[in-house]
Amino acid sequence: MSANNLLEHYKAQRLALAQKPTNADWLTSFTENLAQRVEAYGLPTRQNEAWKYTRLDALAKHEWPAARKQAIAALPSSVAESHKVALVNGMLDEAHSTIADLPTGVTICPLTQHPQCETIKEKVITHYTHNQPKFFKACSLFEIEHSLVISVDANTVCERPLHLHNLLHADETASSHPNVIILLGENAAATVVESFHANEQQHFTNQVVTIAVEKNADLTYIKCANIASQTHCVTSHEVMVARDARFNAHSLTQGAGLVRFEWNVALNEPNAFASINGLFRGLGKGQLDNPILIKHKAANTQSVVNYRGILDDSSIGVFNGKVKVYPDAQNICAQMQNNNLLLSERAEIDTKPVLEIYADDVKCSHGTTVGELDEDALFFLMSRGIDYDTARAMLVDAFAHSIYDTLFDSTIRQWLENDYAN
Amino acid sequence: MLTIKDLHVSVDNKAILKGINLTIKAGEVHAIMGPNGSGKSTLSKVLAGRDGYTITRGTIEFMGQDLTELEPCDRAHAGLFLAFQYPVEIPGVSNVQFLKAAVNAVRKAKGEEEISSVDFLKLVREKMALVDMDQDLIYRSLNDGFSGGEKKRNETLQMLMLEPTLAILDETDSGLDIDALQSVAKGVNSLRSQDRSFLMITHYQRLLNHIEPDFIHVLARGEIIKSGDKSLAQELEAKGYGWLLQEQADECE
Ligand SMILES: Nc1ncnc2c1ncn2[C@@H]1O[C@H](COP(=O)(O)OP(=O)(O)OP(=O)(O)O)[C@@H](O)[C@H]1O
Ligand SMILES: [Mg+2]
Repeated sequence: MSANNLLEHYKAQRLALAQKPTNADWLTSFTENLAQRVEAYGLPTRQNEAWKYTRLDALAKHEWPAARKQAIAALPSSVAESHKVALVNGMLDEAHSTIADLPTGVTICPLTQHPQCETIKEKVITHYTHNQPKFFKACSLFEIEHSLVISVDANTVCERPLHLHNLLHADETASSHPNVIILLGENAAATVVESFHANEQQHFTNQVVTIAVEKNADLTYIKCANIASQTHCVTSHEVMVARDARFNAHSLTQGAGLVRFEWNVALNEPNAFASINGLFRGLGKGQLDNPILIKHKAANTQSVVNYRGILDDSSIGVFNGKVKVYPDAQNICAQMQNNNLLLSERAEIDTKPVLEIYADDVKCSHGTTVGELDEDALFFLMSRGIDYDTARAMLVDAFAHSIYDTLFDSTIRQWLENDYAN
Repeated sequence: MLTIKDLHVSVDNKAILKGINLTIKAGEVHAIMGPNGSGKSTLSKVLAGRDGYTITRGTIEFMGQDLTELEPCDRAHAGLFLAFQYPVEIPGVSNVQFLKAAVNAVRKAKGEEEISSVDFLKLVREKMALVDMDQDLIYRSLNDGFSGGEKKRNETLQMLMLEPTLAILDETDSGLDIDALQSVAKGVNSLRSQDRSFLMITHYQRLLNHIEPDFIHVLARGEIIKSGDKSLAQELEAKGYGWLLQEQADECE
C-alpha cells in the first residue's frame, strides 16, 4: 500500500476510537482487542485471497471523516404495509420510523437502550472472540455500542415486514458505520428488508450485521443496495443459525459503485437451514463483490446458494463462494450455483465456488456459468417488431427473473421491481 | 411486393444461396420445397434479417424498400413476418408480455395508439380459439417447454396478432398431428386476402392440400431449379427430387 493511500487516515481515525475512554469494561476490552486486530492485519491487499479481485482504489482517494447526524426530509418509498425504521448515517431517526406500534415481543432500538442489552452484548462478544474480525469488520465494530438492534422474542411472529432504510446522507465526503444486530428467539419469525439509499456525496459505509436465528426460528432477510459511483458499501453479514432454524437471505446489489456484501453463515446445530439468493447487476465501473462462506458445523444441515450476475459496461463482478463441511457434520446437503451474463466486452466476472469437505456423508454440488446474450433469442424478439434496446432489456430481466421468483412476498417483490431496482 | 434478384448468400465464407430469383406479388401464395440443407431456412432468415449471413451479390426489395438496409424490427414494422422452423425458447419472458410488446411495437411504428389491456386480451383469446391453442400457454414463459406442435401454434398465433403483409412460414407444418395441421391452416387461411402474401416452406404435399399455393418452387443446392403450379407438388411427392437434380446436372453439361 502506498503512502498516499488515504485509507491509512481512515485506519488512524478508527484506531483513535479505541483510545477514547469508555464507561464500560466490556467495551474497553472489546475495542482494545479490535485495535490489535486492525494493527496486526492492516489494510487488505490483493495478495489476500478474500480481496484478490477487489480494487480499493476508489476508497483510497478520500479520508472518510465520520458522517454527522443529519436530518432528512422524507423516507424513500417503502414496502407496502411495513414497519419502517430509518437509520441516517447509522443513527436512528425516530421521526421517520414507525416503531411506536410494533407488536409485543418485537423491539427495535439502539443496543444500549435494549432491555436485554447484557445478553446481547454477551452473545456478540462471544461470537467475535471466536470469529476474529479482520480489517474492515474490526474498523466497523469499534462502534458496536451504537448498533441498532432488531429483536423478536421467543414464540413471537412479526406478521408485517420490517423495512430498515439505511440512509447515507451527508453534505461532504463522509463515512458511516450503520451496524445492525438482528436476533430471533426460539420459534420466532420475521421478515426484514434492508435497503441502502445514498445522496450524491462521496460516501463510504462500512457495516457489520450480526444475526442470530435461534432454535426453530425463521428469518427472511432481503438486503439490497442500488448505488451510484460515488457510494462505496462494504458490508459483512455474520449469521448464526441454530437447530431447526431457517435463514433465507436475498442479496441484491446493483449500480456503478463498490458494493461488497459478504455473508458468513454458520449452521451451528443439526437441521439448520440457510439459503442465499443473490442478484448482482454492474453498470459503469461498478464493482460487485460477493464473498460467501457457509459453514456446516453440524449434521443434517442444509444450504442453498444461488447467485446470478449481470455485468454491463466495464463493471466487475466477483463470486467467491465457499462451502465448508466440518468433521462429523454428516448427512449434510449443500448447493452452490452462480450464473452470469456478460453484456459488454469490457465487463468482467471472476467466479470461484469452492467446497472444503471434512466429513464423508455429504451431498454437495456447485457450478458456474458465464454467458452472453442469446443472439437467437434477441433475433426472435426483434423479428416480432421489438426494438433492440427493449429486446435486450427483456432478456436481461428474464435472466434475473429466477432470483426474483425466490421472493415469495409479492408486496416486497413489487416494491423491489417497481420502486427500488429502477 | 417482394422481389429477390440474383441473391447470393454465404455463411462463414461458405456459399449457401447461389443466385435466387423470386417475385411475389400481392395476394399470392408461394411454396418452396426442396431437399434438406438446400438453403430454404437460410433464405427465410436472410429475409427476416438475421446477423451472420452475408449477401455477396443481388438485391431484395420489399414494398418498394431495400430490405437489406433494415433492422429485423423495422422489417416487422414494414409488414414482414417469419414463422421459425425452430422457435426459440425464452425462459423468464412471459408469452403474454412478449405478444403485447410485439403488437404495440408494430402499432407504434404504424403511428397507432397502444392497445388497451382489455382489447388485447380479447383479441388474443379470439385468435387462440382460432388455432385451438390451450389458453394456459399464454401465461407460460415464451415457448419454454412447449411441445413441437404448441410452438408451431404459438408461431401462428403471433402471425395472427401481427397481421403481416408477407408471412414466411418455415416448415410450420412439420411435426404437427392432423388436428394441429388443420388449426394452423385455418389460421393462415383466415388471413388470406388480396393484399397479403405467403411464402410457405414445406416438405409435404398435405399442407398444400389445406392452403393452396399459386406457385411452387424447388430449391436445391442454393438455387431454384424448378418452378410450377400446384401440380408440381404431386409430381414431387410421387417422384422425389432425384429426377430434377438429374435434369439440372444434364443441363449443366
Ligand atoms: N451458421 C452456419 N454455419 C455453417 N453452415 C450453415 C450455417 N447455417 C446453415 N448452414 C448450412 O447451410 C445449408 C443450408 O441450411 P438451411 O438450414 O438453409 O437448409 P434447409 O433447406 O432449411 O434444410 P431443412 O430442410 O433441413 O430445414 C446447410 O448445409 C447448413 O449446414
Ligand atoms: Mg430449414
